[in-house]
Amino acid sequence: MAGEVAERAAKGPKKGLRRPKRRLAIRIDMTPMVDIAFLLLIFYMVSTVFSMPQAMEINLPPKDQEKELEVKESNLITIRVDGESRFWWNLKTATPDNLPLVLPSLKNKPDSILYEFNADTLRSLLVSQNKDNPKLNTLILLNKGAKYSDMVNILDVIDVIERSWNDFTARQKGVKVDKLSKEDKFSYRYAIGDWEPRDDKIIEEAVSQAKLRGQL
Amino acid sequence: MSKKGKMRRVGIRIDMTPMVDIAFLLLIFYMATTQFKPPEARAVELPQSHSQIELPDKDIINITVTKFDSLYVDYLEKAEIDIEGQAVLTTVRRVLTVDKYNVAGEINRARGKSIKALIVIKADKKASFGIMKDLMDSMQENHLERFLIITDKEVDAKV
Repeated sequence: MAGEVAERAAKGPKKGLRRPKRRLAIRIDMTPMVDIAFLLLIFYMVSTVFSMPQAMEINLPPKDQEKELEVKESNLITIRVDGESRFWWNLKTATPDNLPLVLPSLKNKPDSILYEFNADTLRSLLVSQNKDNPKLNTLILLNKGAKYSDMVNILDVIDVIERSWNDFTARQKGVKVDKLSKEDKFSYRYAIGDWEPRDDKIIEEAVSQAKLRGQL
Repeated sequence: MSKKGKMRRVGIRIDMTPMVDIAFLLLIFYMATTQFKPPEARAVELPQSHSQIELPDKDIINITVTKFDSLYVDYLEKAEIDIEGQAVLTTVRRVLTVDKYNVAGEINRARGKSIKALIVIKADKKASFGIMKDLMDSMQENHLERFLIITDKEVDAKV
């Protein structure tokens, strides 16, 4: 507690303080208090986390109401993610003549063996295919060895497409997004399917084809 | 540098009051807004998304999937604990280590205590899709079709 008593407008040597009964101004040295205040301030600034996590809502189809959905072959696009997180896509059903093509991924970092997801290529692929065919259905197949983030990334791309598509129609019609009529509202049709052994074979063939073409 | 006239050394006194005011203002702001995260033994690196749904902060059942594909269920629960011979009603956090076979059962048991509870899956981005598939299948079989997955907000470099 450094309470220093100083004469108001005191000039000259400190001896002057001794002089009796003058009006005294109290001067408290605030430095230690300010030190502590800044210390706490810096501590709280550093430890505060502002980025609150977001949530994505997922609604699975109820098991007992799940029926085999018939989709016309011409309205089908399949996105496959293999065990190495490579993305493959093909229209219609995959056959030896119609093998999935690899979706260009980002350049690998030298220290990783995994393929980096490239949201832009997937987004532009899905947007252009949906524009070509408004009845398009997207089937998503993920290998068990793929990463959870691959699933989140695909769902996120679909979510972004859906939202920006509706924003665009709403702007063109001059209405608010939530006031779009049911016919105008775009809701992306997709399903996450089961990866079956035959998908492994398809990818195996597609890999060798892509290697021949020098894409891998 | 050379000392010409008789320059007296002048003591500079800066009025620090405004600065201290601002400092305290910030200090109080940060103290009031800070939420300390409980130290987590099961660290999870979240995937990123552009989703804009806010995460509710109460009445949730957490399912944690670590990058090693292990599953945990945790939730808050009202329980009577014994303090010096007296039964005291408090909330405790129940953490259960589960596997893909009993996870849905544990969720259902947790939901039995609070039926409106939301299921929130917090999975590491390096977790395999296989474990998520197992988890989702088992939830689907147990009529738990609606849930949230936690992601970090993705900030695009370009507009």
